[in-house]
Amino acid sequence: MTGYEVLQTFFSGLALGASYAILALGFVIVFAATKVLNFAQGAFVLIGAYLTFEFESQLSWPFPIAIVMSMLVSALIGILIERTVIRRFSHSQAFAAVMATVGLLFASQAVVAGFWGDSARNLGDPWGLETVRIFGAAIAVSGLWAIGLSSVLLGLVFGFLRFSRGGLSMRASVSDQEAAIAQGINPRRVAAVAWGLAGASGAVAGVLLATGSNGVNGTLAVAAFAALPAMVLGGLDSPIGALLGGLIIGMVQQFTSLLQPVYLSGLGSEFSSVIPYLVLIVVLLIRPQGLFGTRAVQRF
Amino acid sequence: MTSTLTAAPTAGSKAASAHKRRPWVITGFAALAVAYIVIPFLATDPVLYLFGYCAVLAVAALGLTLLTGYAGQISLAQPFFIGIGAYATVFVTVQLGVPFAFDLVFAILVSGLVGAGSGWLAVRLGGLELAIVTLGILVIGQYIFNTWTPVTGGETGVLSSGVEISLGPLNLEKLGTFTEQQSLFWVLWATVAAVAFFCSMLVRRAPGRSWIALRENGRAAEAVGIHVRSTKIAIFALASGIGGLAGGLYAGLQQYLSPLDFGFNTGMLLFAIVILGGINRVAGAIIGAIIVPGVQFYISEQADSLLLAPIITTGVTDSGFFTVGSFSTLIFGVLIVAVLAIEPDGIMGSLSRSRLYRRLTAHRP
Repeated sequence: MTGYEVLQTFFSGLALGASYAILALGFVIVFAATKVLNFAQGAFVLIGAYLTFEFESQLSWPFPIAIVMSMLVSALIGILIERTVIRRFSHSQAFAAVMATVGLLFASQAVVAGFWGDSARNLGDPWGLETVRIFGAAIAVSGLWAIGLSSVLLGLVFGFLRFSRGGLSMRASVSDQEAAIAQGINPRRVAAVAWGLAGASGAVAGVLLATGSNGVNGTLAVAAFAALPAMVLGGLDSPIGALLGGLIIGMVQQFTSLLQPVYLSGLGSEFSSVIPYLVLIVVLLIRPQGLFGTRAVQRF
Repeated sequence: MTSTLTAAPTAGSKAASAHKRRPWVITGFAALAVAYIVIPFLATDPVLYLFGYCAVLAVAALGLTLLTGYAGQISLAQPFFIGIGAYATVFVTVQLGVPFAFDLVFAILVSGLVGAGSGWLAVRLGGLELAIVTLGILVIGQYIFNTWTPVTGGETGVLSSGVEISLGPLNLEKLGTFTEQQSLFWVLWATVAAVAFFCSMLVRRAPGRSWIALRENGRAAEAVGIHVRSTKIAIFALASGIGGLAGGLYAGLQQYLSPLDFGFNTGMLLFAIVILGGINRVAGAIIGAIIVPGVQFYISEQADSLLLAPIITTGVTDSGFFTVGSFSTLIFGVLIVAVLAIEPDGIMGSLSRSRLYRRLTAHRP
């Protein structure tokens, strides 16, 4: 293992971590605003990736326009889901709402399979296949794009949460919903914005996961679950935690796929795919409150 | 007076009085018993096989009902424990040649032990974090099933046709002159009845009450003297052990085991079953386990009928929006959402509140 390999893995870990961070951000925003663990995030990933494929390859729109349009459509679908389904569960137990999102995930998987069939579609390599040399290490341009795109999106979301009026009402209703309502903040609008953001970030994550050799296929919906450990690591309702958790898990996963085939090859060839969950379980054994969370933990 | 108030009625007198006062309950159970005996003579082998599959799902769903419905611990890992039970049974039977009854005990013990381990995680985590961690256990389980080739056969799977459900020298898969599917129906549904009886005994007594207390409020439960830590570990071990039993039966029912049988979709199938039937009811798991696979089977049978043919495509040339698989996925998804929105307590919950049901099951003075 050379220093170049380490640097290369560092960058690919950063790229993977960035897509995890975006995915986890979608989970976190919805959870913070509505206290719903949204398994249907996987549906946004799926829909976003297929829509981008449709716009780019079938309608031959330029890639940036295709991705922005699919973000918008996914955001609309998210708002629609919140308005029609999730709103009915706002007063019931968390369990019912969570299972309802699982039902939504199933239904949207079926609809997507109906529209586009079961076979994988190729999104191509919109970022190109070139590599650039940074300090002598070969870094894929696609990875740099993933990092750049994620940074822009994360910056926008954090800017929205920190500086805009909408972000302020969102933070207010996360910290104390009743007080926020008393101040005239509309909780339904907050929920709708959260679901819209989740839809848009899911679409971007879908594109990041599907470009290159992976292709667009039905398993993307389940691939989205790999971001759930990032969400728990950072504490369930902290956007910053989602970012850091995503980066940590992406790094650990890429370094595992660099080192494990050499030193622990007996564990099998796909071992790095379970790394997010292993990291999660190990961390929770040592620090039950998550890495950054200060949440109240019940221990008996 | 005090002595008559505090004296516990003996089991015998309680049962006798129930016989006298609730004739409709007795009639209902008698009808079930008749159906149990008669169905194998009336149904065809594919339908009987479906019923066998329903029975395996019912056992696994009963474990989930106790764990999630009564104790409030959301666990997505139940298929992992079914898988452990199934692979353990195949390994011990085929490779070591141990009789089936012992294999089943072994399968239950192994799943129960691993389940106790995940219960230990549940002690540290609440609600939704637990759901995520159990999803992680499920994914890691998939990886183990795919990778540990000597035991599980890896992705290609392992033959389980050597596993015969038997009790000592008596092979319960070939009872006398009956076909294998007929015998399996009787054996598997007898097991379902036994497990359901065991579960309903538990939920009415101290364990059930402590699970409900745990679900409603962990701190309050601790305050009234329930040891939350050991209760959580115990309920996880119990639910996983029941899952392991279902796995052992699954190995007996199936000719072949693939890791995909124990994945995310099976977990969601189980959740659809318990939600539809009623997650707070023992009988709900059984009703759901008949209805959900039944609906799937019916859809695949009727895919070419007048009603469904325009929607479902069965071939390359056939027009239609959905494939059979994705249409039943859609039905699942819509069913889960609809049941939760309309009647979160499921079929059994809505039934038990209906006036007719109450009148039929009420104690008559």
